[in-house]
Amino acid sequence: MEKDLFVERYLKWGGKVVAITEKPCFRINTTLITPEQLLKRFDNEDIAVRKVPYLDHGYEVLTSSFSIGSTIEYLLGYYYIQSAIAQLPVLILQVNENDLVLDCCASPGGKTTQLAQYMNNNGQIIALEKKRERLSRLKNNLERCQIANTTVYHMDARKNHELGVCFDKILVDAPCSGNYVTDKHWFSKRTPEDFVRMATVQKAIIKSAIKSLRPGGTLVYSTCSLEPEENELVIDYALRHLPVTCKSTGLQLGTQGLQQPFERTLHPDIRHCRRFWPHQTTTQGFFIAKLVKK
Amino acid sequence: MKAFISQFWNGELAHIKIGNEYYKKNDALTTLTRDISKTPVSQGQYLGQQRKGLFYPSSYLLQFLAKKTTKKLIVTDKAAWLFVCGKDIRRRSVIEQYTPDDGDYVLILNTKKETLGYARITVKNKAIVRITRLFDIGDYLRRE
Repeated sequence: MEKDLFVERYLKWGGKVVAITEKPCFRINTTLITPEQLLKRFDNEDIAVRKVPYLDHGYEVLTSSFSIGSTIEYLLGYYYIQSAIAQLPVLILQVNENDLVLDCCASPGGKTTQLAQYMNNNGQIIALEKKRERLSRLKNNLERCQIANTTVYHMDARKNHELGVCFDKILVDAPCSGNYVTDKHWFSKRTPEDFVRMATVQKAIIKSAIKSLRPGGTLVYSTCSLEPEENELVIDYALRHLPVTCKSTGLQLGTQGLQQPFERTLHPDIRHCRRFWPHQTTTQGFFIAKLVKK
Repeated sequence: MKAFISQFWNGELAHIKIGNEYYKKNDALTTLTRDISKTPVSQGQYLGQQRKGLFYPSSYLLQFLAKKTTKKLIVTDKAAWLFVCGKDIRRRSVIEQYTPDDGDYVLILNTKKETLGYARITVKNKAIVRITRLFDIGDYLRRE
């Protein structure tokens, strides 16, 4: 599809297409090192960083004379390179040390290792990855960050209920069509038909995940897509067909979910979702919803 | 894995094996997944894997063994960096050492006492003449 058509499409919903250059970000793995210790080491190595205000362990790299993916500290698992916005879903899920957590689409492991960190490597995580070729990256990152509480299955997240396990918390960082910030050829690759096709998969994952969630349990759904078909329409489907309510994420960053995309009024609780337009947040595009099972 | 660990420590580490990979035994994880018909691809703390006749330990296992053994060399930061890039250690880069025997497997640590891998040493007349890298944690990057 032409870029102009996307520009027009986004404009209707309050979005803009702007060039964003994200600074590299990382999350300190506090199970292995304290922020003070790591920041002192970075200081000695002339790596200048700044804390991301809306994250607890997230920092952006201001200047560095070499790649932060090739330091001894990185190899020792002291930090994980992860965009700032991608650190939000786990924060919103609010896991604790006794939880039993499902991570539906886990590779490369940024959110899995973050879940384990917030659980102090206690409790239990089951992480699923559908694509065999992505499993090794997930396993490498679990190894590097010394994650001890996670079991990984090579499995399609649409069948997660077949595990027969009842989870306290579930993270669905769903496969999506992405957004233009992270791929300069994105506009020429995508059409609305892709978004509808992707939404079919996303709905199937949520449907299965809600079956696996205990009553009162929390599910956080996120994508790095800006398309309502993959975001608000998926949550609208969940609110109308599954035993869930949509709760506030508690975030100030971002804007409310779109309540009337495509001239159709969605479920009123869609307002609790958060949408992150790159021109407003200077991050890549993102979407987050928090669902609680009735 | 047992043969590798015995180079540094006489104890035993309870573990499970998935394929050629070893994981620290964790009863809570195995109890939860006992009734799941699928076999996991990984479970809990990774200890290492056997590949082409050599044991590739995890960072966790290396650090665990460093607390149990005296067979370790502390090397300069420059040598530590070259080591994780796949290079052998020069004799003059060793800052602290134990009393070595020829053919010993030794853990290589940087000045912050972090374990970066292991090597085999050649000793002549009670002096180290060669430190040959066998595994280093730069393996993560080379694997990807």
